[in-house]
Amino acid sequence: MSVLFGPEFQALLAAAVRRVRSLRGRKDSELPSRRQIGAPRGAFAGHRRYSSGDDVRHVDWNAYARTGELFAKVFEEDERRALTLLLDCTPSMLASDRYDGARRMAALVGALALARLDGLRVVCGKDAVYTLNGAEGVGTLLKILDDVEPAVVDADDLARVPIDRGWLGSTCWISDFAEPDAHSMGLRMLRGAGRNCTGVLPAVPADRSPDVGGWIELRDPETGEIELVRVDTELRAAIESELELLERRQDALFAAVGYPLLRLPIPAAGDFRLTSWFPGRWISRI
Amino acid sequence: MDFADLSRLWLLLALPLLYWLARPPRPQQRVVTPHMAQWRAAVARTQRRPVRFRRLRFWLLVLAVIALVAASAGPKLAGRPGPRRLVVLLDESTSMRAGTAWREARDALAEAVDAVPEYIDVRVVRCGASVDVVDASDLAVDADLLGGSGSVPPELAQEIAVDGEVAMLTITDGLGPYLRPDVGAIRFVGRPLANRAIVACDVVDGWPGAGIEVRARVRATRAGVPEEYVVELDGVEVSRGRAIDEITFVGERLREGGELAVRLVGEADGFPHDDAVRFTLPASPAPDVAILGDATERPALLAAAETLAHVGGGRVVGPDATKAGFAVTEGGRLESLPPRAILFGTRLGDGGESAASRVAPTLLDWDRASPLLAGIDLSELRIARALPVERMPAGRTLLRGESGPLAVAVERPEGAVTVCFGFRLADSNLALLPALPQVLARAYRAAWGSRARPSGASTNLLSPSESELVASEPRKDRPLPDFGSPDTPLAVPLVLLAMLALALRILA
Repeated sequence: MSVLFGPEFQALLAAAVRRVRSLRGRKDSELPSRRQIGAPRGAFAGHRRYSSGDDVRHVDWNAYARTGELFAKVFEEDERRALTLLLDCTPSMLASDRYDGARRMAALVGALALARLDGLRVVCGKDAVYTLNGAEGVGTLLKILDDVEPAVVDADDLARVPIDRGWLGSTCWISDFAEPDAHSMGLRMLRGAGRNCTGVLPAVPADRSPDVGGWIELRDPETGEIELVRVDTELRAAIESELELLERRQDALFAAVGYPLLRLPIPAAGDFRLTSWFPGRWISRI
Repeated sequence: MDFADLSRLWLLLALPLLYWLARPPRPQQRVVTPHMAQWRAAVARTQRRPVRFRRLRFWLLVLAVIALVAASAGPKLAGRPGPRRLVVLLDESTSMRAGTAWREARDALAEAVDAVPEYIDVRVVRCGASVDVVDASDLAVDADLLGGSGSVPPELAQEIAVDGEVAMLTITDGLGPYLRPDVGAIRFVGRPLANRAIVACDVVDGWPGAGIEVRARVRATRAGVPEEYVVELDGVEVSRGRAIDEITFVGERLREGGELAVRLVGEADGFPHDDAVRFTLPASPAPDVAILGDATERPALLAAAETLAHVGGGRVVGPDATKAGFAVTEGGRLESLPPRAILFGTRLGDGGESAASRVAPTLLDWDRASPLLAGIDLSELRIARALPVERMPAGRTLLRGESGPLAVAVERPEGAVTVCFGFRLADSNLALLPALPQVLARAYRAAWGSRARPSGASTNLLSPSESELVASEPRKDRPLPDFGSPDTPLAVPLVLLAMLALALRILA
């Protein structure tokens, strides 16, 4: 395993599975009994077009016989017990340690979902969609997260994946939401489709105040643009004001669609304490 | 493109320094941030310009600097090759007064000046009695003021034409034997005319006698055909006749003087200015002759003086006559040198007694070229005693002795001459020689200088070549060459370009 998911993180992950008991504040006893996603239980919710990654056991062969097209049967209860993880892999996440922190948070959330719920779907891009279930899926999850490379992905395309595929469970969107306007449409689509969504923003200190001074070369990881600025007291105050304004826009964006936005500070490197990664029981809000 | 001061371009070596100064500062830290938009908004809020190396601004600055440096070096675009100056050689010889030549010359000059572009520098060289350089606008010469003689010096034309920057135009009548420039443009004015002329005239005045003789050389209109002439004395015709080559008139002058004119008469010819010659004859002085010192004791001297006074219209007066027009002295002493006199052994000034007289000085030679002694034989002159050399006044030596001058001619104002002999007649045999009357008469004439001589003939006489109004060679004009255009200075456009680049740099 890579340095990202080294033994210390593995220990953290195991501790989280053991000790963090709930997602969205519900006890296991309150949740329906676990079952495999592939097991057709619960009320038949309808059909949707078959897409790559769907279990072939869910294919409605009768419908195929009638129409000549593949449809998958959707069972409501199964979907509600699954978690969809949208991971922003755009280059803007490369700033500071946000990308690694985001992937570790995704690993923690995904592992808990695999342990507590019936399944996990990981969406890293329009075509990078993975379906996992069972505790044994944790290893696959970590490999997926370890291997995923930064790529330019449109936020709308990312949000459209669970809608198009008819996934009914909760959605956790891990991103820096650096451009709130770019995420607005995706969140509104999720809201319109009746999905529950929680925004998780791995926060770094530079989101509030740049810890730099003097002549600084700024580089935008997505566009490659470079600016040279001299950071002094006046400019520092101005950028702090602008970053605060950005936070307010992000909060306003999620408030507008009724979803929570969780700003989770990324623990310092080498800090694998459970309390550092799960402050304030935020996991219960997913 | 040429530069007036190419060394200024060394300033372009400062461009690397300019590049170094234009570079942004080296960043202390490089930060990857997803909040580029926020940074830009913050920079804008603080009203700062983003610091970056803007290529366009830098190259505009470089362009401005290059333009300014180039402007300081005096750049110019070379104009069309060709002459950029025009020198007009204007023939102001007297023959230009003939006919319409001078008017045509002035018209040709005005036409040439008008035809050349404004940037061509035009100078006029007046080739008359002297060569003068004037500006074209300053040329205002009346035909009557043209020089008495002269022509376009061919060597001057050659020197001017050597330089390709200078075009040369010769305006001449092309008449007479003068050489014409064989380089540059040439414009012939006037035309050949038939002309008769008095080309030389000599007056022999017999003063103090009354006789006068005029000899004038004539150039007839047609060879061998006599020309009619008149001689007028103070407006009164005294002679008329016909002559082919020379006019000779012998007559008596008036004691009160007057104008003597020799005119060719007949139909007007092409150049009437050379048809007559005039002299002004002064009134005869008629001075009294004073006999001073021991002169009265010399009968020969006294007789010669009386004859001289009689011929000249005066009389012999005594030694007290202070207003005598001419003095003859023998020995004695005078305070100063009289203005008109002939002195024989007379001491001048004070002292001098200590110096010993020269005993039996030997006469070596006499000035045969002097008008005073020309043609006179003094080889028999013997001198027993003469004044010492230091008592002789400074002047032209007439008699040269072994020990120094024995007679000198002292120049006085108005061309007058006073003759001083260093010995008395009593101490020599000069009174016994036939030369004495001649010497006295010539000294008497020379003592009055120009006041008794005819004047004016030289100003009217023309050279024979000037009077010959025929062309010795075919007259064919040569046109002016195409002039070059001036260089176009580029300093101002370059400065404007620099200002434009700087303005664009502000906007960029």
